[in-house]
Amino acid sequence: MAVDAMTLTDTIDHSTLLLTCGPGGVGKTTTAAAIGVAAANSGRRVVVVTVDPARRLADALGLDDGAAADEPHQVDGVGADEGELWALMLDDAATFDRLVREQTASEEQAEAILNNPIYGALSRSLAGAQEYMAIERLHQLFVSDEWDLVIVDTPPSRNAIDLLGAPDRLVAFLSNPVYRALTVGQRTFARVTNAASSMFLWAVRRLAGPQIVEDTVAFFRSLTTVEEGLRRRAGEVRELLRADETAFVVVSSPRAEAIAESEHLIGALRDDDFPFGGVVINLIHPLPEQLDPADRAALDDVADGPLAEHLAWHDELTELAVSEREELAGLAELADDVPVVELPLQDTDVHNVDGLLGLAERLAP
Amino acid sequence: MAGKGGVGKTTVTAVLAHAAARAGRKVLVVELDGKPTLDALVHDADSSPDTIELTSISAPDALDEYLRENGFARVAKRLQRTGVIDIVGTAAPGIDDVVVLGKIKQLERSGDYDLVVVDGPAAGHAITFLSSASGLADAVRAGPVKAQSDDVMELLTDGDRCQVVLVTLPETTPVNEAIETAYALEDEVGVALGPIVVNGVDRGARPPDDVDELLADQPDGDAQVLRTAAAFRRSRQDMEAREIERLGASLPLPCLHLPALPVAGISVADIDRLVEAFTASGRR
Repeated sequence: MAVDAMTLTDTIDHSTLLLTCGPGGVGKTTTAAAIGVAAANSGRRVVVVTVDPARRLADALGLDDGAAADEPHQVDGVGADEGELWALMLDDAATFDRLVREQTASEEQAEAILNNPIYGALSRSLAGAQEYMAIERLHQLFVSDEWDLVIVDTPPSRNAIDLLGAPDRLVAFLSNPVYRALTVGQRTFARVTNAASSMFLWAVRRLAGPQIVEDTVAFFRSLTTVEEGLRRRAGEVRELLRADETAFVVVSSPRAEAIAESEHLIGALRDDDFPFGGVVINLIHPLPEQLDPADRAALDDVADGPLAEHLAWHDELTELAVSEREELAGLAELADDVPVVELPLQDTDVHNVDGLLGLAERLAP
Repeated sequence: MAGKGGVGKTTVTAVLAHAAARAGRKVLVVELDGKPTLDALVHDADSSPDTIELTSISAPDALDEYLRENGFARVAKRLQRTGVIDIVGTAAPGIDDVVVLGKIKQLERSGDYDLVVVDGPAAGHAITFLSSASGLADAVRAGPVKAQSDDVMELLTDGDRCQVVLVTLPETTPVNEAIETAYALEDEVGVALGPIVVNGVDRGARPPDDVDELLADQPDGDAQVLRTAAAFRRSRQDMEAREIERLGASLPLPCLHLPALPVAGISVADIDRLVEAFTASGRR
């Protein structure tokens, strides 16, 4: 039985958690914000979590220099009925700190972790920490029950599974035999007898000096107090990301490299049973209307000078627009069971709420 | 080579490498992402007389090699297998970036190449990547990792040996990001900046504003089709000109322009056209 094709509006209405993902430079954050505008204008209370918005978009969302990081700010001029749009710029370190405080039994335990120099370095620059924090913040907002829809603009990631697998990787790290041996409760690392951890300590000491060994062991020891909580949280996030009311929207541009990444991403989402809810093709060149072939032949005979330039440009724009649509054929096939929406290339980037309203109207008319 | 996602950094890397090879220099291209694109753009050009070597550096391999060269040969495999390496990476964040930079430094010092072009890490990570050495110096005060960081810092801060070429597009957000990245690289890494490459510039003639006379003899529908296409081009060209001017006003660096090509994906044949344009742009 044929059913009406899903639209992106259906996907948005159906979700309580929506993640935009895709390659860098395709307008993911702008798309996430525009989806938020559409949902707020249909009467829902929405928060958009972004990682690193371009300055002008940040201005449009009220996330300019005066705004405190990691706190939601209401976006003016958006929302109908009870609907509101709020935006929040992710602060990795603050999110990690909050997680540690939540998961420790006492202030003293929390301080032991937060004041360790290894913790400082880890929460700032550990590869994948930003991804993990985006997921963690999403969970915090989702369970707060304050929002009808949480939208997360994911950090650009060549392999989105890096992002989605972040909680599992943390658990795998905590399950490492070396980590376990370091944290079984010996009073000093000198008495650690496990062969792997001895080797670890020896290697770290020789590579990086003795101070870092003490810091590392102390850090891992203090981390045991939050380990149980982190494991439980990773399990909850794993379920949340695969829930029925969760949707992943892949954003791509029509450039070959971006398309290849997006195709890879869609395959990975499907392989791991993440709910894939739609595709937005941003920045596509408009396909110009075509001239009547008989007129065109006549024009080629007479045209020179500026008129010939007009014709040449019309041909070039057509060639580019067609080339983009050809590149997109494979992606469209991969996404033939979900809505695909195109947003045309414009002559300026989105820098105010009006621009977002215009995009929202195209995404979810 | 550094630039945010979608600006064509890999294409420009290939163009710059071919341009240098055609000027008679021995070029090594280093890629860090395991992307297949660069290999095709560098090597599949049968027609091209260029000799360019391409190598791929991954953090695990570089770390393994580093361990072997620093007295850990017997245990390198076990360190990797037991996941100890992951924990070392956690304890000393940036260590993987530093060993990759160390490997690049080694290739630069080998004397086998006149120019090493590095297709920088994926979107936005260039600053983190390049500041790994100075960041690590805070946590690590002794041992071979310290020595490695120092060597890398010496390379990065010597403008005669190393420059960062920023790639951007003639659009508002990429230009803003190029300006911000340029200042961050100078302030946080102390690395010298080479010319900025503006990719995807529409270098075609500007369609005249007033076309009614030209199109007076055309059927109305056709005239409207041409008018619409021309208006689209003019507004894009105006924006590009504004952004290129703003880039020039904000950064005291030479600018090279690469033309936009009417294709969604760059092929090997397109590289030739871009190399010519690049070389011509550099001469002006």
